[in-house]
Amino acid sequence: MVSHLAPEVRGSRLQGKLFRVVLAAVVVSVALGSRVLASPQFALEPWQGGPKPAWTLDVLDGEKLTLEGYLGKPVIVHFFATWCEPCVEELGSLERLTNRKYSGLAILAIDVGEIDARVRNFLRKHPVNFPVLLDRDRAVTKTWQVTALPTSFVLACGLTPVLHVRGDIAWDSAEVATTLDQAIQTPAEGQPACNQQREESE
Amino acid sequence: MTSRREFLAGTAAFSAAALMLPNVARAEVKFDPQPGKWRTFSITTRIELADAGKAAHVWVPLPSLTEDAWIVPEGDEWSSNAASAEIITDPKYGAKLLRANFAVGNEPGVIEVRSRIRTQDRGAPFGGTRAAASLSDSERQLFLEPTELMPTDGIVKETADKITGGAGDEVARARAIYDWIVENCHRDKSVRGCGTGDVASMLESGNLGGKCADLNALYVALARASGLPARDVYGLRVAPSRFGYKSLGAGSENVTKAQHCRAEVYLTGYGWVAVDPADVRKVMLEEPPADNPIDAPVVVAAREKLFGAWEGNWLAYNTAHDLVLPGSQHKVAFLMYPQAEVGGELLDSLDPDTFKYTITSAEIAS
Repeated sequence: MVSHLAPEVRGSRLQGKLFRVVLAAVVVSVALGSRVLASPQFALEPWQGGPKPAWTLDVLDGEKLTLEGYLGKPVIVHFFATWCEPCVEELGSLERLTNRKYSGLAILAIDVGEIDARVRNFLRKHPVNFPVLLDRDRAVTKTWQVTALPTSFVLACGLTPVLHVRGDIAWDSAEVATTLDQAIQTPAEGQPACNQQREESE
Repeated sequence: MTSRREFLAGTAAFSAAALMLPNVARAEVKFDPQPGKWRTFSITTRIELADAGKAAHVWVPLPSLTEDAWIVPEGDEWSSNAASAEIITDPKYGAKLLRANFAVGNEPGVIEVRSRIRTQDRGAPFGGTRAAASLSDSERQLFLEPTELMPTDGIVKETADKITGGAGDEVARARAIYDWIVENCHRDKSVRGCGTGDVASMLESGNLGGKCADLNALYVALARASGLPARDVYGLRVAPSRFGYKSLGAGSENVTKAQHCRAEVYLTGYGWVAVDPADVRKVMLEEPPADNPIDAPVVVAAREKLFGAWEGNWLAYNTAHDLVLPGSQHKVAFLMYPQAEVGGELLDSLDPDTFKYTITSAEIAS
């Protein structure tokens, strides 16, 4: 079950969640400097859960891709669907993020539960330069416990989530850039720095 | 060529007269489906594949539900250049479909399927004698269980309990859920096709907009979570509404985009009861002059009847969920549109540029 988060029609349940998200972002911002920032609707939050399971998925019109192949790089794993209205604009901001040349940052977009043809048609109108993967049977979506779209995770170089957002944000904004820089360049406790790990993996 | 089973009688052309909306004075809004007049329709689905260079498979939903009170399928026939074709019945829900297999060849695959049904209105059951057939244990279990997109625990159960208060008799609970859908959900015209039916996500996000596969699936999920057997009935509008409701009928003999799913809830003593809150919201949004308030007479009249009754200008295909297409790896959440797989890839049933099909409806003169 995956929902599309449409802020303009959210009910009281999400309004409550929005309050908690903003509150959490403010609290964590105070604690961690400017690492987490609150956008008007949704914000990147520190990930409090544990690691997420590895996966291998088909790339649209391509080979299989495995998450573990990105060990040593920071990764944004982004769950979306073509029917999800806010996802469209957010994909555009992710695309613009690829032009910012973050050190080694990879973006992997996972379409949830749709057929290849529908995703292909969608990407003709909204092309992106990062891999789009197909979670046709929602298996990865379920194991990653994604219940709303869009949802994104920022993984540190050890492929452990460090940031998370349930909802759409402007990935190319200056605020998110600062947050990403700090998350990527300041390794979480127990995690190696990206460059070091990249060198070791090469 | 493959063909099977001739119809018992020829079909009359879908006359212009049949397509004309009844001359109903809208100042006196009436929407009052009543059984008593059976109508017969012939539905023709024609699929033309574009690519002859790859092996292909086609699946066409067939009318599968036989309910003596309101719908009786009268047979299916087809013609095609397929290498083979057969009717397959899904063992879980009894959903019937025609599967055709096309080999790599010089000419693109074409198939035309004609199905004939008899149907009539369903009237409100609550004033009559309680004489409904009982539901078997296996049927009860089937129509209480969750589906992939329709859980009955978590937020669905929480919402159902809030709506019904956990109390009340079966009719009261079923009606409370109906009223909640009508008053809290809305029809979203921007949704492709009939929607996805991802009902838990609607509740999670608070976005209660959608179309029939969303709103009526939400009804079914909430009913099941309340302990009431319920089912989506996926089908097709085949004729205009004789009550003058433009939004509740087919606009022409071309019904290619007239898919509509309804719902049923099983109430002890009454049997399967017709429910269609999605159509109440459709009347609110689309019935001329459009954007009708919930207390507009045209809405009130439909709302009063669409819990317990519906008009027989619609055919039922099936009640299946999470159906793996026979002979394929692909699974569909529900089977209401024709499906096709070319070179191992499922086509988009909602994209007329890549998957061409037409569905036409003709009423057969009695």
